[in-house]
Amino acid sequence: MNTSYVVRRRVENEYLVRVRDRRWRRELGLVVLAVLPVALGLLLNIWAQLRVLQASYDIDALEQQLSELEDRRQQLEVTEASLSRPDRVRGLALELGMTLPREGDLVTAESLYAARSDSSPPGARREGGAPR
Amino acid sequence: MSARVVLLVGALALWAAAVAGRLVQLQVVEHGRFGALAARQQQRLEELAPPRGAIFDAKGRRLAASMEVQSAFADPTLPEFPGVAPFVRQVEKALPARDLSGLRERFEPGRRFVWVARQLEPAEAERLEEARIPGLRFDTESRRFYPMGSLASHVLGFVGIDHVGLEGLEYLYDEEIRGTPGWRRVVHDGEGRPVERPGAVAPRPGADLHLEIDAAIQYVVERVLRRTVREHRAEGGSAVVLDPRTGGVLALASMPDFDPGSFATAGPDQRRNRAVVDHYEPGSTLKMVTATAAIEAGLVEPDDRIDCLNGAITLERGIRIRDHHPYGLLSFRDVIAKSSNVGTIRVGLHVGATRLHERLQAFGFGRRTGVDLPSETAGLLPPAESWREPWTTAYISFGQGLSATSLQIANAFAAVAGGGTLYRPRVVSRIVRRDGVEERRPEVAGRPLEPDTARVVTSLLEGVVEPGGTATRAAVPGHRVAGKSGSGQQVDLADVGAGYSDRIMASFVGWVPSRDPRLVILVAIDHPRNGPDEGGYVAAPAFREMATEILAYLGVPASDDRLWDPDDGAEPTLHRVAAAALPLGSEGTPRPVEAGGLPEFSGLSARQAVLASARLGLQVRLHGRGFVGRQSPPAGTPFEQVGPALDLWLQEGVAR
Repeated sequence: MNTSYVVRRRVENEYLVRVRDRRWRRELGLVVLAVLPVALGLLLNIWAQLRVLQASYDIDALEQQLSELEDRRQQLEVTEASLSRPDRVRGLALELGMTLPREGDLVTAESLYAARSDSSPPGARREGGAPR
Repeated sequence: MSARVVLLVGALALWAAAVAGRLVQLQVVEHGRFGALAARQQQRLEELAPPRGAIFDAKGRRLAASMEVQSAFADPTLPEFPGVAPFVRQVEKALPARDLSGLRERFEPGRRFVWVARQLEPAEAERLEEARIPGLRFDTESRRFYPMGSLASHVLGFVGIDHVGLEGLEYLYDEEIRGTPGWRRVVHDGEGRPVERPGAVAPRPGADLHLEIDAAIQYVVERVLRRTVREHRAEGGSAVVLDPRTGGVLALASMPDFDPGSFATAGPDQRRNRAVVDHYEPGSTLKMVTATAAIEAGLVEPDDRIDCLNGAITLERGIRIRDHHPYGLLSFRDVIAKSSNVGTIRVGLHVGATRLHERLQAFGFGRRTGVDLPSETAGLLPPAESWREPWTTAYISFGQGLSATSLQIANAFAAVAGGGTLYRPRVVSRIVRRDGVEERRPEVAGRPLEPDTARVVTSLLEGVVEPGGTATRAAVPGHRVAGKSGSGQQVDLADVGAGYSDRIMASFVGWVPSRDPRLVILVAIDHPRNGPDEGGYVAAPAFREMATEILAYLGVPASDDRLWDPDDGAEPTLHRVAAAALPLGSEGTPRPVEAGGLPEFSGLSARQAVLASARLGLQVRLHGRGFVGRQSPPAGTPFEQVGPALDLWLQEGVAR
């Protein structure tokens, strides 16, 4: 006898019910609440430290720049001083055909008046009227 | 629980315990050691060098300045230090042009700091930085520069490699101009970049010195002195320029000189400041003191006649002193002008040892002038009680038997030029500190003679430079000069017992203009060996050249009109001199008006108007710039009604 049978039965797991675990979610929330500020704090701290580090590098770069500019200023001052060396100035003056003032080239108004008042009274000169 | 699980947990626990134990060992047990190591690697205490103060001349020209440069050093104890041999190889590769001999030997065991190369040129520093040699560090150091080269080298002095003053003003004022170092603590990251500065104290910069020395005057003096020494094949020379109104040292030079920027290559003879260190027997320049003592004591008048005994006088023990020429009767004026030893000795003996000694002391001989330069010597003035009459007095009356420095002699003459006031010579006029300025005022050191005596001595010393005197070569065109030449015989220091040698200190010291002194100049040439060696021949021309250039530089107008037109019978006046010097031409004079009186000035330049009004004896007040457009009082005003000053309003572009 050839018998075969197939029992088809829909299994219904009526005892396994998917329910939401409210306690777990609450615990997760508590954990997140507890960890998040710490994590944020850590991140903030790292960020601040990075900022400090970056600022420190920036300060260093600026100080370096300041120092280089200061060095440059000092170099320019020394160069300016060496360019105004009297021997150099004299050489340039001679090249340009300049000479020392000759006798009588230097006359100041003060010396003229002083000499005038020393040598003869103004009246004597004035009598003639017209200048010599 | 299965056995395998127990084994796994046990292994993990052991591993964790090992890690924890190691951590405890590193972080707790050896915390001190590793903390110190980390601090040494990451932190450094850097000294901040203070900028050394600059030195300026009287016109603000920079004579000495410092610049920050890099110096390289090594710390062999650093973990990354590769060892002496590889380190030196890398440095040599980066600095092929630098002499690094001896660097290897500097790495002694245990040393934590070794200088590798100091005061690097900017390009050298760049190459070393690019080489990134492990264990090499850089520090900033100050390097001294003297932009004017050898100018005023003996005054300025120099600094050593550690920036400590070793000579001159750099040495004397070292504490002032050096400043105070600061420091800072720096934390470095792994690449050596500074990331934190936990503390710092800023350096305190050094003070700046401002001098009485004028670089232009100093240059003229050095140029003329150098040439004079060379031309006369002399061993050296010194020159001093003083302002007799203040005691300010306008120039002070010694030859041979040196470049303070490379002082190590100069010998002691080059570095010696002869003007304040060397003392010598001055010779006839000291006759000024004898003359002052005699005149002040009322023993002699300029026109008194003195018998110069045909040029020879015999003292005790047969000592004979001769003149260059066999003079007979000479006025005291001529005794000084012709520099008669015999005439001066006779006056000096009349003055006597006590009075002469007192006068020499009053002029500052035998003691330091107090100038602010190091190593000044006092010279030798034998105490009066040791003078052996009469010959010590005789010798000293004409400048032998005592010694003085060039600065002392110049300062004594400055006292006569200044009307009797002896000043303490001053090189530094101002010290500029960060917290204030210290002005150095003229300091009176004594009054060795009365103003009336100073006038008489001035007239005597004017005769020295006039025809018939010993130093006509010192005459300066357009100016009266008062001064005295000297040819002091020197003792050979190698053989003192042998007495005087043929070594002469040829000098001239004087002031100009003699009646309104602006400059006292001393020139002393040591042992001239080319031709005559008298001061009037060797030093006087140098004086003349220096004075001529310096007076022109200072803008001192000619004041001696006698030289202008000596054949003209009319009384010479500067007014006439000015007209001759600046011929105006017909277009440069004010137009006379028909009614007479004040002429028309309109159209004249300011210069022409000032000269023309000076001719008329009128003061002038100029308003504006350009050419005269309007005048007050107006043209034609009778001269009697013209006030003391003429007002001229100038306009641009209305030339006649």
